[in-house]
Amino acid sequence: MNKQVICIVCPKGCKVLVSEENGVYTTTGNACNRGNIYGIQEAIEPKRMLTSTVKINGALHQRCPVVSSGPIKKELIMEALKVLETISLSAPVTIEQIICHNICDSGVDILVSRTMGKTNDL
Amino acid sequence: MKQNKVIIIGGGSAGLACAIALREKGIQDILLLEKENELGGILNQCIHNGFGLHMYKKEYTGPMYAQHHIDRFMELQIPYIIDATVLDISEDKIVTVSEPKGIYSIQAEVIVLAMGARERTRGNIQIPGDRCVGVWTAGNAQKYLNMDGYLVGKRIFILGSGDIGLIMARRLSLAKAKVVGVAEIMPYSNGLTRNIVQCLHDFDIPLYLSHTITQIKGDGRVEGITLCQVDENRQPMFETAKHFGVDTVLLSVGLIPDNVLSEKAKVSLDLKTKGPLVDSELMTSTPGIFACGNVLHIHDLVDHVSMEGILVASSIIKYFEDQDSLDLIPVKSKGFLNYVLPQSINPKSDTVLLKYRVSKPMTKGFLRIICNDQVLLKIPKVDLHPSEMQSFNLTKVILDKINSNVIVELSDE
Ligand SMILES: Cc1cc2nc3c(=O)[nH]c(=O)nc-3n(C[C@H](O)[C@H](O)[C@H](O)COP(=O)(O)OP(=O)(O)OC[C@H]3O[C@@H](n4cnc5c(N)ncnc54)[C@H](O)[C@@H]3O)c2cc1C
Ligand code: SF4
Repeated sequence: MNKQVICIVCPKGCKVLVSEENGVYTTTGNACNRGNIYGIQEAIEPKRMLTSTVKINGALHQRCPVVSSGPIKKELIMEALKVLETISLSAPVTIEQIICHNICDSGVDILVSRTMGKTNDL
Repeated sequence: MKQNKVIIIGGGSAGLACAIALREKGIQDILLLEKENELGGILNQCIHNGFGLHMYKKEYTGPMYAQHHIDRFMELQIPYIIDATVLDISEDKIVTVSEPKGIYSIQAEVIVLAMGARERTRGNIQIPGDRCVGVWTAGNAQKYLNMDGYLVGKRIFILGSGDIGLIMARRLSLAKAKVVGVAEIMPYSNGLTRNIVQCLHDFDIPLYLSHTITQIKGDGRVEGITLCQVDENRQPMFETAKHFGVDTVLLSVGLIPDNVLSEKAKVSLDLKTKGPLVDSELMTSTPGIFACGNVLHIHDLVDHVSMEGILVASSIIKYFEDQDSLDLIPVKSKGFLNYVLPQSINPKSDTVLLKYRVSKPMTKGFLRIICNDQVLLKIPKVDLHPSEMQSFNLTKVILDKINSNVIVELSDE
């Protein structure tokens, strides 16, 4: 297997070619070792941080921003977003409060990324 | 008239960091004025992660980064007013504010300009075509989506490949809109590689480099756009015209420091940065008026905005101790540089952080600090890009050698 990925670890953006032979992964094109680690991870199982918003009632805005507790498998992102669409929060919420544990069995939680008070408390 | 020692205009990252640092240094009489209904500024709508890498070695989201500062601000019980728009400031530092309790004036000893930036609009870049609904600036579309849950369109074309445009391409795709393409008039993108990969490649969104929108068509609502390739002089080549059916156009064509107020106080502006001319203490041409954050020059990283706010706080302390004005030493840029900040060195400064942007992408270059035709420093640089602000610290040892005009030069040899 051969896979071309662009390393995003630093602004240089090396084009890294990841090759696999008998379960052994090698990379070429990366100017440093961080590109090797990133390239192999990206070729085997790409992961992304997930940020979005969920509905909130009784707060200053209609939506509350949320973030995943760590990177989540890329293929699970759309499914995870569907789960978030079903969640509705009520103010107040506090930064880093968990609103969904182990979303889509990814091992990752979803947290609110800011504090939002109740509007009549303001 | 009401009086305050320090008035800070704007409660974004710059204003918050400055207020916190001032209070931590023992200044009690501070008033922060914010025109929106909450503190935090632009960060509140930037829900993606990637904030705070330099200051906290963490990847906060925008709201998280803001929350940490707001919590500290509240803990220090610094006085502030929200829904408070500053309407005018005068040369003698009288601030006129409109807030829910009324319109009144306050005499300040020091004013901190921290009003941030506004987005360039269709008017600023003049795209011909019909005047129809569905043309948005990327920042406004971001605010509507992330704070109110309102999606601006279903089939979208984005003009401009800076980070804000790229971040919105991903955000809209995740919100199930179809982003048909992103056009960039320059032959290179102004966004981070990371954003090109994670915001465009991940969603198979094409990036059209050296292209621009030459026309927007629509009767009432946007119906489509014409995209043309441009030549070396950035002039459209009409024989390359392609049509795309879309209902929305997003403009991500840059930010302009918001200096309407600064001009009222007769603060001189730099034609290149579009922000105030400042010395190394970040004081403007009007003594006692300081500037930090996007109102001074456009930043790509919030960490640098906060650090500017903190620097202004230190400068204000020095200003209160000693208001004698010393002769400033002008700083000029030369070679492949768009600008250098500050525009002058104040002999009071112990160190000076020079900030600059290059005028074209360069894989390697040399930065020279020149005074009296003598090269004081020659620093090799690699991988320079116009979208990434660079900085260099002039230490006391170098500053001691500087006695007249300084030239900061970037060349390829
Ligand atoms: C869309 C977007 C995405 C970004 N993404 C990243 C990123 O991924 N990582 C990163 O590190 N940085 C990012 N940045 C850059 C960084 O976040 C900003 O440069 C920084 O937050 C600007 O802070 P500021 O305080 O200068 O301005 P602002 O946050 O704009 O604050 C200015 C405040 O002043 C107030 N104000 C203006 N005029 C008046 C007036 N007359 N009276 C009273 N109040 C007034 C405004 O309401 C506002 O709250 C991004 C910026 C934008 C715009
Ligand atoms: S391989 Fe190393 S040098 Fe190249 S982009 Fe990745 S981190 Fe940067």
